[in-house]
Amino acid sequence: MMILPELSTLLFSIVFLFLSLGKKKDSAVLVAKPLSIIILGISLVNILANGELFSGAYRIDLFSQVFKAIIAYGFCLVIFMIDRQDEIEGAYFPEYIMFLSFSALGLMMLVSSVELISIVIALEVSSYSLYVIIPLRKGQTNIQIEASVKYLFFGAISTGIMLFGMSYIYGIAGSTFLSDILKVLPGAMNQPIGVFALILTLTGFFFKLSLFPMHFWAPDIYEGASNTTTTFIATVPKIGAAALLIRITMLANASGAQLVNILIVLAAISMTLGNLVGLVQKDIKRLLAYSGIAHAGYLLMGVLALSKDGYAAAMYYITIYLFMNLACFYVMILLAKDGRNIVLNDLVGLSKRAPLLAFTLAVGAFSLAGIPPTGGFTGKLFLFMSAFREGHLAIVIIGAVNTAISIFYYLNLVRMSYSKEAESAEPIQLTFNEKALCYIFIFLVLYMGIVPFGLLDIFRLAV
Amino acid sequence: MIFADAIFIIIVLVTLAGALMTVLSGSIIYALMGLVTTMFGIAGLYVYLNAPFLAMMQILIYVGAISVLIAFAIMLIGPLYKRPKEWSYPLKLIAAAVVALFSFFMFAKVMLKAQWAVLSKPFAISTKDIGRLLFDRLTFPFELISLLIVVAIIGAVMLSLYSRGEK
Repeated sequence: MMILPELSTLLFSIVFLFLSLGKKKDSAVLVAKPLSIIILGISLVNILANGELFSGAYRIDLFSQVFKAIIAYGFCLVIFMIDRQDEIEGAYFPEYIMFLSFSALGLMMLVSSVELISIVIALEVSSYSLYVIIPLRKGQTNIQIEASVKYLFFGAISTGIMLFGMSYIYGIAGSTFLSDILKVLPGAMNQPIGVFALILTLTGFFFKLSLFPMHFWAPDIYEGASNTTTTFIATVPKIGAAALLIRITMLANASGAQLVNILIVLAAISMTLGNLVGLVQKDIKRLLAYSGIAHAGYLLMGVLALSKDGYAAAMYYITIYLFMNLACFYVMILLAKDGRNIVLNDLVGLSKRAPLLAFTLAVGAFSLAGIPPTGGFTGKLFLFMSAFREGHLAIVIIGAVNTAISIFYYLNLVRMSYSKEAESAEPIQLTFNEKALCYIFIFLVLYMGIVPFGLLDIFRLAV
Repeated sequence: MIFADAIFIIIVLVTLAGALMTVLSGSIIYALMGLVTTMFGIAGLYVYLNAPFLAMMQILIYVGAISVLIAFAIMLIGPLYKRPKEWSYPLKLIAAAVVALFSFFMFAKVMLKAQWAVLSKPFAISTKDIGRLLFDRLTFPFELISLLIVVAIIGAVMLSLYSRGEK
C-alpha cells in the first residue's frame, strides 16, 4: 500500500464530512487530534515506499514521501493549534477541518504527481479548499470576505498563466509526462520559448509561495483570514509549492543559464521588497506576510543553484520555515483569544504576562532573522553556500544584506515583548497542551539549528 | 483553398469582435453576449485545427453551461446590469491596451523564433483516442477531477448556507 498516506488523509476528510452532518459539532477537534497523529505516523512509516502508479503519472519515491511527511507534520501541528475554536463559527467547525485536510491531501498528491495535468488538478484541490475556508471567521467586518475573493481571483489568474506555460511545454515536448519532457526540454532551453514555458509554468507555484511577481495577495489575505486559517495558508501550501518548484526546475537540467538569471532577479526583488516593506508594518500578520515574501526569495536561492546541494538546502529551509512560522503564529493565536488581529503594541510586556510565549516568539523571530543557534541560521547558511558554490555571488551578497535589514523588524518583536513594561500585566494562563506545543516548537527550531546533518543527509538522498 | 481561408478569416474576425465587445461594451449582458460569440469563434478554430471533439466540448461547456451560469449570476445580483463607470475610464483602457499589445508582440516574437519539432504524421486525435487516453494513461487526473468537483460542491453548499446565516 504505497499511497496509504493519501488514503488515510482522504479517510480523515470523509470522517469529518459525516461529522458535519451530525449534531455534536463541538467534539470535532477531539476526533481530529488522534486521527491527525495517525496520518503523521502512516506517512512516516511509508517514507521508504517506492514505485509508480497510474501508468507513470504518480511517482512515489523518497522525494515525494519526505515532502508528504513534512506536510503531514505541518497539518498535524495546525490541527493541534486550533484547540481554541472561538475564531471559527462552531457550526462549521467539522467542515473547516475537513477542508484543511482536503487541502493537505491535494498537496500530498501534488508532490507525487509527475504529469502536468495531475499537477494542476492536485494544486487546484488544495487551493479550492482554501478559498472556501477563508470567509469562515467569526465577529469581524467584511475583511475576510474581501480576502477570500482576492485569493480566489489571484489564484485563478495564476493558474491560468501556469496552464498557458504548460501548453508551451506540451507544444515543445509533445507529452504531459515529466519523464518525457525531461528528454526534450533541456534542448529547448537555449531558445526563448523554453525559458518562457518554464517561467510561466512556475508562476502557479510562485503564487503559492508568494514570490515577487505573484506576491501581492499575501498581506491582504493574511490580514483578512482568521489566525488559524492564516497559519495554515502561510505554512503548509508553501511546502508543496517548494517541492514542485524543485521538480520543475529539475526539468531544465544543467542547461538553464537563462532561467537561472531570471530566477536570480526574482529572488533579489522578492527579498528586498519583502524586507523593506516589512520594516513599517504594525499588524503582525501583515509583517509575517512580508517576511514570507522575503523568505520565498531566500528559498529560491537554493533552487536556482540547480545542484543537488541547492535542492537539499531548499528542502531544509522550507522545513525550518514551517516550524519557525508555526511558532510565531501560535503565539499570536494564544494571545488573541477573541480572534482579532494582533498588532505590535499588543506584545508589550509579554515576558511578564506569559514568559513561555515570549520565549517561543523570541526563538521564532531569531530563527526568521537567521541568528545562530536557531534553525533559520543553519538553513540560510546552506542556501548561501549552495548559491555561492555555483558562482552566483551577487545574489549571495544581496541575500546577506537583506538578512541584516530584516533583523531590525524581527528583533522589534522581541524588544516589544521583553523590554517594554505593560500598564496592566494580567498573566495569560496556558493549559498543559499549549505549553507542550510551545516546548515542541522551541525544541524543533533549536534542534534544526544545532544538529542539521541527519535531516540534510536524508534530503540530499531524496533529491 | 481560397474558400477555406475565407472561412478561417471570418472565424478569427468573429472571435476578435466578440472579445472586443466583451471588454468594451457598457452593459454586462452585451458583454456576456460578446463572450458567447468569442467562445463560438474559438470552437470554430478548434474545428480548423482538426479537433472536432474539443470544438463540441467548447460549445457544450462554455457556450452551454458557463454562459448560462454567468447570466444567472447577473440576474441574481441585480443592479449590476450597467457596467459601473469606474471600470472603464480611459486611462485604465490605455494601460490595459499597452500591456496587452506588449505581451502579444512579445509572445508572437518568441513563438515565431522557436524551432518547433516537426511531426512525422499529422497531429490528429480522434474522440476514440481521447477516451482511451482518459481511461489509460491519464486515469489519475481523470479520477482526481472527481475529488476536485466534490470539494467544489461541498464548498459551494457550505458557503451558501453560511452567507444565509444558517447554523
